[in-house]
This record gives sequence, structure tokens and C-alpha cells, in this order.
Amino acid sequence: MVDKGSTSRKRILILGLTFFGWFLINVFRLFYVQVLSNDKYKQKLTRQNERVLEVSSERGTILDRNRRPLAMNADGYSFYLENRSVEESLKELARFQSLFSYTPSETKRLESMIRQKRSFIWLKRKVSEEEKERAISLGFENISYITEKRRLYPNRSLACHILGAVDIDNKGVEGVERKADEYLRGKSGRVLIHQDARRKVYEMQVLEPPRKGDGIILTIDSVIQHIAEKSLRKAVEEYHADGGSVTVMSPFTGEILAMASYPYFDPNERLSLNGATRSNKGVEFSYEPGSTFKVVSSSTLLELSQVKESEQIYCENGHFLYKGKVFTDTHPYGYLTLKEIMTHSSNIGIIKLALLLDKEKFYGYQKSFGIGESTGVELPGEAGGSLRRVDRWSGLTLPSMSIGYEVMVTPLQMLLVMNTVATGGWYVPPTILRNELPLKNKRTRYRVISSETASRMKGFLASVVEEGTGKAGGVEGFLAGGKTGTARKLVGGHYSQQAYVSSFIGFIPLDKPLLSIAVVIDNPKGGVYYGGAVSAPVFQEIASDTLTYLKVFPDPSAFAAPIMAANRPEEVKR
Amino acid sequence: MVRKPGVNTPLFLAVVLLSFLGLIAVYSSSAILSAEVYGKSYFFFLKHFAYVAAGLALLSWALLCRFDFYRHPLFIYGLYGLSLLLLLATLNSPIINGTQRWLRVGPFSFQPSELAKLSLIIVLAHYLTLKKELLSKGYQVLAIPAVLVALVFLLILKQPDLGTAFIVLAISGVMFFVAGINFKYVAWVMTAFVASVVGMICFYDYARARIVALFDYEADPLGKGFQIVQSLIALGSGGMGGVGLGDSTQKLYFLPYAHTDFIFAVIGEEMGFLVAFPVLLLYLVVMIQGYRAAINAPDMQQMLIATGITTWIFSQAMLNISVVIGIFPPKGITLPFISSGGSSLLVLLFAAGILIRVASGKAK
Repeated sequence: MVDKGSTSRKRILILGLTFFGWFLINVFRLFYVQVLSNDKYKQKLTRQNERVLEVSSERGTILDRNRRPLAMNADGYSFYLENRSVEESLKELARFQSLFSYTPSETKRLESMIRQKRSFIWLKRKVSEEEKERAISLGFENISYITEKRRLYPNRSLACHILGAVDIDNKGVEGVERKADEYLRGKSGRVLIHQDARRKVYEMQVLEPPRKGDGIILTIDSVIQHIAEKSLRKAVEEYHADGGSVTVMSPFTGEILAMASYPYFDPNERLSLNGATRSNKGVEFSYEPGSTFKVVSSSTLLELSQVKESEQIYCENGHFLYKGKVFTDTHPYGYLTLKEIMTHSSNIGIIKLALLLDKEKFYGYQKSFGIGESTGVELPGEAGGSLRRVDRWSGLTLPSMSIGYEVMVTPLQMLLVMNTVATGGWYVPPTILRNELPLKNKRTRYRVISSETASRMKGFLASVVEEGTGKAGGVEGFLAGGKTGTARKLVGGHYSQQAYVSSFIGFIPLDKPLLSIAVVIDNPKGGVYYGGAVSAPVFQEIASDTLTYLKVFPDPSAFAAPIMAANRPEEVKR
Repeated sequence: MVRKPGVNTPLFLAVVLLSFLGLIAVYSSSAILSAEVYGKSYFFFLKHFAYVAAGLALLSWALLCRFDFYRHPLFIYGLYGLSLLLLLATLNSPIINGTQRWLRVGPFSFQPSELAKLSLIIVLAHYLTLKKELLSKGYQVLAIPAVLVALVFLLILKQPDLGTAFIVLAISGVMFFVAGINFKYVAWVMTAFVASVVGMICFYDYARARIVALFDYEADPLGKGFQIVQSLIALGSGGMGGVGLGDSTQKLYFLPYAHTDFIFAVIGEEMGFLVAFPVLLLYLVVMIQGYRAAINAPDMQQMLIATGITTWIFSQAMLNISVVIGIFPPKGITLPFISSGGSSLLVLLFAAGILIRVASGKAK
């Protein structure tokens, strides 16, 4: 290498230097990417393979007062399609659809989503275990499922209007489910997942575990609720009524033991219900109460000492013309005391007494009884009824109001009026919650009428059941108090001669009432429409069954003998 | 000139260290893929390990055997002929990822372009040494070596394997240059190349667009640019110290060819700049020691062989790393001694053996 040596050496050195330059470029670039841009690429990496997922919490259960489940959770299976190829997806969809009922529009919607190449498509949410097994047995390539919690109402339609329902995402949309949604739903958790490029999760980190929703215990007693629903159904069907409502309360505690509205529905089935079926009539049905409102009028009369107990009022033989309007009674009466007026429900008697009342004071007592204002019970959509201010009253308002017209109430409001008499004069705010939640009705109890007035009213109302319009509401072996009501419905601006709201509202036993019950039947048909005929028997049946269930017997001594005998068989033989 | 006999230790150590690092990197980057494909996480690693062992054996043989096989015409032309035949055979091989680079024999697959590079270096060194007197006098003497190069170049281009073809051209050019061809030919070729590139960029919009697109990978991060973007994320998130051995998340299918072409990205992610930079330094050691060996070679043929092999190893390493760090578009070039890739590794280690032999003054 003597001759070529120097040239080659020079050229190798040139090469070496050139390559060293390339080396330096690589080193600088590497340093720039790795060290100087470290944070930027770390962020990119995080964005690429980390994702925060929401984990839904389990919804709280709803129990009745005896801890029997009314709403609970079960596993539901939700099927989805991973849309990899339109053709295959459509084929699998067709096979999948053979298992479930799909409307043509649903099918169309799914097919168009597949054609739009949406990568993830829900096919059917929250199906049962059996349905899941059937679907799996068909063997799908692109269809799989995840397990979700499904709301389950084990008693089906029982207490449906109180419980309400949830939507497909377990959000409460009706009833207590809606009212107490923020407590029931709990708090969803967050999980940080790391995914590889194929979106497979290789690491999971719980950032925040889901918190189960609060359980709710209702004041409802499933058995009493069942009794109420059964009797209500019977009455509505027998009289072909438009609907009806029964509310059972414990008057001293304000707890609602049952609240039924006919027609019923099954909240397990997510059907689109019409408003009439959905509405919880106990708090949502506003109506003119008719004669049951005489409890308010006569309580006011007694409180204001407008009438003496022995005083005889002439009842005009059933026809009373006042300011151009004729008021009538169902039977013509002559002279009646206030007690007799109540017992036989004379409109004219009450009106003639009420005309002596100071309007403002009467208005004040109505307010005090809770008329014209919602009760604050923990149910959504409660109506407040309506009570017009005195300055908007017409000349006929006072007499009409005294017999329960020109004033709107809900069955629950009317029941609270009756509770005031039952409790010796107290307004006890109603509640449906047993456990303490911030949404619990915060109103406090207060006195409405004196205990003397209340006890005199009790006497009147006992007489209604003993010998008056409410005889059908009497329960053998018990004294009860109650008042019938048969109100004409306002149809197209005129009081109808055919459509009535028939009610009976009462309490039992008379001296220490355990139960108060409001039965309101909307538009019974077929000639029988008096509250005493349609609703009082419902009261009787529910009261009787419930007292039996609660083991409250008319006279304990009457049952003592056979029990003793059973305990001493020898004596029986002798 | 008196030369101490004995092994060139820095060169030998650099190659062994790179191979050792390759074992670690291949295991780490292939374990998950391997477990998925073969059910065993160490399958790729074992295969690679076997090749490294065989390659080191070949290296030792090339280093220690007494016979100067690369001077023997039968070996020289036989190897070259065999390479051409194998390259021809690839034209009938199955298409993998749109290319035909691999020959399959039973369970073994073989990439003839690697062998072709070595055989071309040996045959060029032999021929240029034979004609050394004529080299500076005219260009006619370059006709035959040009044909030798062109055959290999075109067959590789046909596969197509642009990156390897480029390296073949680079190695050959460097060997002509070092062998002492007239500088004006070199100047002509360089000028013509630069002029044509500049001309194309200036006069043809589509050419400019193509060239811009080659480098503008960020514009299309999910398409062709995906590999580069993922490679940069891997390197960039590694930082100075790395995320820890085995903890690469980019190898979880984000990074394509994690254990072959983009293995440097996994090294950078897991072990950080503190290891990635020394890897570059090891190639620099190979380059410096290789060229020093060429300069000090006892004869022209050995000088040319050392130049050729050094150029091959170094340019391929730099090109691979340039791709991984995003200054070149992806070309399908492996990282010498580190990437998994059986036959290529065998040939490279054998070539490294020859280079160390020259560097160690073993040849007579």
C-alpha cells in the first residue's frame, strides 16, 4: 500500500469525518427527542393509552316499613355489536333479531348505524339470564355482552305509583325513584385503564370506587298496600269507574301506610305509559271534594261558636234559593241539629249556617287545615289543589265552598283534614319515608282546632257511620268516624248530572284512631254513584282486613275463651 | 511496519456488547408478541439467542482460521454467484408485506440481501485490488465492478428494498472512492445526484410534495406516519433514565416491528438516553476502529474489505437510528447486531469476524 496509501488514507479520513457528522446529528436529535422533549411525549403517551372510565354505582334498594324489598337490583345482560364489516354485521344482526322482538323502526335504526360504520352499537340492554343464554347459544362473532345492574320490582305492580320507575340507564323517572334519585343512585366511581394499541386493557387502577346508593325505607306496608290495591281494583271494576285512589295513613304519625291508584302498571316493563296510568292519584288528582269538605265547614262553625249543639236549623225541605241559585238536598229535611246535618249530609243546613261565617276566618281555617297548599309529602308531581283568596270570591262562593265546591283538593289533603279530627285537632304533616333523608318532609305539626271541637266532630262523624250516609263504612265490632262525599264533576264548564267523584274518608277505631283511609272513586257508572254506596264499602273492606292483619281485635275478651280452651285440652274434653 | 498480533479488543468488545444488548432488547420487545403467537414469551428470544451463538461462532471462525478464504477466487466468485442466485430466487418467494425479501427453507427463513452485501464487498475488494494500477487512469476499468454492483442493486431494488439498495450503493461508492478512482468521477456523480434532486424539487410540484410528505409524518399520524409517531413517543417518554426494563408500553402493538426495525425505540423507552447514547457510541467505536484497521491494513484488498464492512455496519446503524428518531422516512433497515433477524445477524457477525481479523493484523 505504498503508492495508493496516502490517497486512500485521506479519503478514509474524509469518510470517517463525514460519518462522524451523521453520528453527531443522530446524537443531537436523540438528545432532543429523549431528554428535551420528554414531557411532551410523556403526555402523548398518556393520551394514547390511558383512559378514565366511569363505573356506575349500584342503586340503593327501596324497602317497605318491615324491610320487605320493593325495588332491588338484579344482573341484566346488555348486548352490543362491534361493527367490523358492514356485511357481516347485518347478517349477525338478522340472526340476533330472531331472538328478540324488534319494531321495524328499531331494526331500521340499527341497520343504518351499521351502514354508517359506527364501531360500537347497543343491540339490546339489560335482558334476563335466560335470554342471554339463548343468545349465546347461537354463537356470534361480533356480538358480545356486558353485565349491568337492572332494576327489579319483585312485587310487580304493587305500589307502582309510589315507587315509580327508572329509565334504561337506571335513572329514576317516576315516583320515589325520581324524587329520591340523588340518594338512590349513589356515586359512580372512576377507573384509570391502560390500553394497548388493540384497545385491550392491560392495567387498571381504581381512582375512586363507586359508592352504592342509599337504601330507602318507606312507611308503606306491603300487606296493607296489597289490601288497598285489591279492594280498590274490585270497586273500580265493579262500578266501571275511570279510576280511583286509596290512601291509608297512621293519623298520629302522618305515615302513609298505603297509597294506591287504579289503573296499575308493572314498573319492570319499560312501557311508554300515558299520563292517566302513570299518575299517582293520591297526590296528583285534584277534584272538588263535595260533602267531605263539610268537615272543614262544621269544624269552623264549632270553633267560632256560630252554632249551639242543640240549635235546630230549618233545612227548607230540600230546596233553598240563594242569590238566584237553587241548592238541594237528596232528601227533604225540616229542622236538624248540626250533628243531624252532618249525619245526613244536608247541603242546605250547612249552607245556611255557613252564610253566617266571616269569610276571612273561614278562609283562614281552610288554610290551616292545609287546603290550597301541597302537603310536602316526598313524592314527585304533587298537586296543591286550589283555594281562592277572599277578594276573588263571588256571592255564591261561600255557600258553595261550605259544601265542597269552588275549592280543589287532592285525596291526601282531604285525608289530612280527617286526620286533624282523628288526632284531636292536629295537622300532622304526611310522610312516606321512614329513614331520615334531607328530602324528608320538614313541616312540623300544629294545632288546627281545639280538642273539644275535634271530639264533637268525632261524635258527628261516628254518627255518619252509625246511622247516616256512611253506614256501609262500618266495621263490625268497632266504632269508626267518616264522611261521605258525592261531588258532581265539572264537565265543559257545567256541573254534570252523570259524572261524579264519590268518596269516603274516615278513621278507625273512633277513640284512638290507628288508621285513616281516603277512598276516592272517579266517575263510577251504572246508576250507583253515592260516596256512601261506592266508596264506603271499600273503606269497610280495607279497614276490616287491615285491622285483622294488624291483630287489632274488637274485644279481646271475646277471643279469650277459645284460646284458653285450646291451651287446656283436658278441660275441653270434660 | 511492525504490527502486534492479537485481537483488536475495542472492536471485538463493541460487537459483543451490542449483541448482548440485542439479547436483552429482543427479549423485552418480543415477549408479549411471542406469548401471543407461540404461547411462550421466550420463543423469539430463544431463536435470537441461537442465532447470536451461531453468529459468534462464525465470527470466531472468521477471526481464528488460518486460511485466508476471502482471497481465494473460488470462495470470492462462488459466494457472489450464490448470492445472485438466491436474490433471483426471491423473485419467486411469497409476498410478505408487499415485498419479497425472504427465502424459506423448512423452518428457516433467509434474507439473501445480507449475504449479497458481504459477497459484493469481497468481490469488489478483490477486483479493485487486481486493477489498482488502472483505477486512476480511466473509467473503462470500472465497467466490470459497476456491473457487479448493478446486478445486486437492481435485484434488491426489485424486491423492493430501497433501504438495503441504498446501503449497497453507499458501500460500493465508498469502496470505489477509497480504492482511488479519479476524484472527478466522484465529483460528477455527486453533482449529478444533487442537481437532479434539486431540479426535481424546483420544477415538479408533485416531486416536491412527495419529498415533503416523506418527512411530514405528523400530518398523517394514523397512516404512514404512525410508525414514526409511535417511535418518537416511545423514545420521548423514555427520557434520560428510561421507564424501566420490560416496562415499555409502546411495544404493546403501538410500535410496529418493535423487536426488529424499531428495536432502538424500545431500548430508548425502557433504558433511556443513558443507554441509547452509549449504543450510538459503540457504533462510533466500530467505525473508528474499522477505518483505523483499513488505514493500517497490510494490503489494499484488506483495506477495501475493512472499509466496506465498516461502512456497511456503520451506515446501516446510523440509517436505522435516523429512521427511529424521525429524520428519515421508514425504510425497513435493521439495527446491526441488535435487531432480531436470524440470517442477517449471522452474516453480520461473520463479516464482523472478518473485520476484526483485519483489524487484529491476523492476515499474512
